Amino acid sequence: MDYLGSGFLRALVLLFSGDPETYSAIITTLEISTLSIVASLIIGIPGGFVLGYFEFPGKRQIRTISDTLLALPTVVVGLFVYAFISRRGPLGDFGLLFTVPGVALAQTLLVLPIVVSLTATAVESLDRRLRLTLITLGANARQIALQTILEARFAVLTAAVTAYGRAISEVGISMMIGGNIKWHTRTITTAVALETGKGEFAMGIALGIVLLSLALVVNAILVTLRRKR
Amino acid sequence: MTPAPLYRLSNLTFRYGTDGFALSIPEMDIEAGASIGLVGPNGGGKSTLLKLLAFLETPQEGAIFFQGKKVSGAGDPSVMRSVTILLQEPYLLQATVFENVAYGLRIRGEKEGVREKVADVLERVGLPYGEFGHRKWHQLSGGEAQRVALASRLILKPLALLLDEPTASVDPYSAYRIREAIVDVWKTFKTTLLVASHDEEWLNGSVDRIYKVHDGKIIGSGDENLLPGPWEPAPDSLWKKGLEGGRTIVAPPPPHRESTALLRGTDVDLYVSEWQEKKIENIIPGVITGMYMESFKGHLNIYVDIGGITILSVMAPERADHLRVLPGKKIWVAFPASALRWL
Repeated sequence: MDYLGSGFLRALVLLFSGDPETYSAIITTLEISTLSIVASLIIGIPGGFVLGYFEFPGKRQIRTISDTLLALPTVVVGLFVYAFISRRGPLGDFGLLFTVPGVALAQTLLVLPIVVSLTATAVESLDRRLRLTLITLGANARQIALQTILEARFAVLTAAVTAYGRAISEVGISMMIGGNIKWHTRTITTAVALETGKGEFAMGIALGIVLLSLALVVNAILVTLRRKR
Repeated sequence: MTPAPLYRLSNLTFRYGTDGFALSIPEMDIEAGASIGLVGPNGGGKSTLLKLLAFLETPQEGAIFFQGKKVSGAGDPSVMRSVTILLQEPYLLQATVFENVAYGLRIRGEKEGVREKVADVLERVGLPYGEFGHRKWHQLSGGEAQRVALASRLILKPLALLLDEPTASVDPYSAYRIREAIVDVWKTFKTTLLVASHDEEWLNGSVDRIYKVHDGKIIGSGDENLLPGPWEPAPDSLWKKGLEGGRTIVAPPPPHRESTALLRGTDVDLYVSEWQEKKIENIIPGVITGMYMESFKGHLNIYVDIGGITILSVMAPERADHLRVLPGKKIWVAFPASALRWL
């Protein structure tokens, strides 16, 4: 088991000496997950709000689909997006395969159901008295909708944080769409997979520590948000 | 020409579901500046009437006129903004007290002097701005939350302020502050008040007129006793209702065993002994549980527990003085069977 201990020590050296290869993977990960989370929030919060707030035909079916996609396997998203953005695919001309925006696009699809479903649930589970109260205070339809999303803000933030956690930790999409290209699309998770396969534990452990720290920060934010209520 | 009343209800019928509970009011005017309390049992229609008057519900039949204009559907925005209702168990926004109270002004686009107005209405409900303005919604007791909810409606200076059970779950001090606040706005701004409450004593000190709402109908001006069934046959072609301790109320034959009888408080006399010269069917011993002066009318309301139900007797203060009524005193309530009317 010596190799684990020495790997851990060398991991610390890599992190604290600012090893460029290690930091490249970290920065790529943050780039991709930030892009995908922003895109999924822009689409998902209004989408989830509409799904939770309004009554319309097909709402139940859309909700069921969205809830099912919460458990979407990353490799399925990878396969699907690969088919679309590879040169033969309908979006092949954009040259997205093996690029950061390509991975971000696929990750957006992965976490979108999380944002949509959790936002819809947040809006649905608001107190029924809220609407009546706003009406009795003289609010119009637009003001009621706006205040409703504001009342759901803590739960919506929780949705965002949950989605972010999923984005930074997935490996399937990054591997299939990104191609694990060094200095370019290699992320924390694909790097760990590769280095471990090579028997290079140091960088794997270093990146594992970073990933765990990120998860810790994300969870700390969640806990703080919950406590604010 | 006299101005149109604030509300005119005409041939109003409201039903929950197809054969559910119905409220029906053939004719009712509520003058601007009136102060009206609604009492009656749960499910009798008090809340429904308030929701109709707040235009949160739409009657199936008949019409509600507001300031002489017929209101249909959800009502137009200017009418909706002239009326506000404080529902039972109010909801506060997940924000500070200040933001809750200022919300109504904010959505009306008012920006001038908001802070002063908020401080003023909070003062009216006994919540000093300095202490409470920045508290979060979850840092308030039930009574404080209720008063914040009231303040957020007072700040709108509504023409009509409707309150549904405002004291149902609050502490006595909050109940007192709520009374002070609404009596104050009624006197100062001539706000029309409609208040539904179980607490008749609280209500009597808060409004100047009381209607009883029972079984979907407005049945009187509040000094009535309601005597629900079941009734059973008694000798001399009379019927009776059993009370605790073998006591009974004797009544003329009811339409149904479960019918409710109405007994005006002014028809109930009190005696200090059982012995009477006059022949009265009902002379029932009881204990005085409460009494207070109806300040607007100048007579005394005396409540007597006669075994499970409380009977209200309304009399002039001189008569009460003569009888030396005191809470806790044993007394006989007396009323002829013919004083009962069937609903």
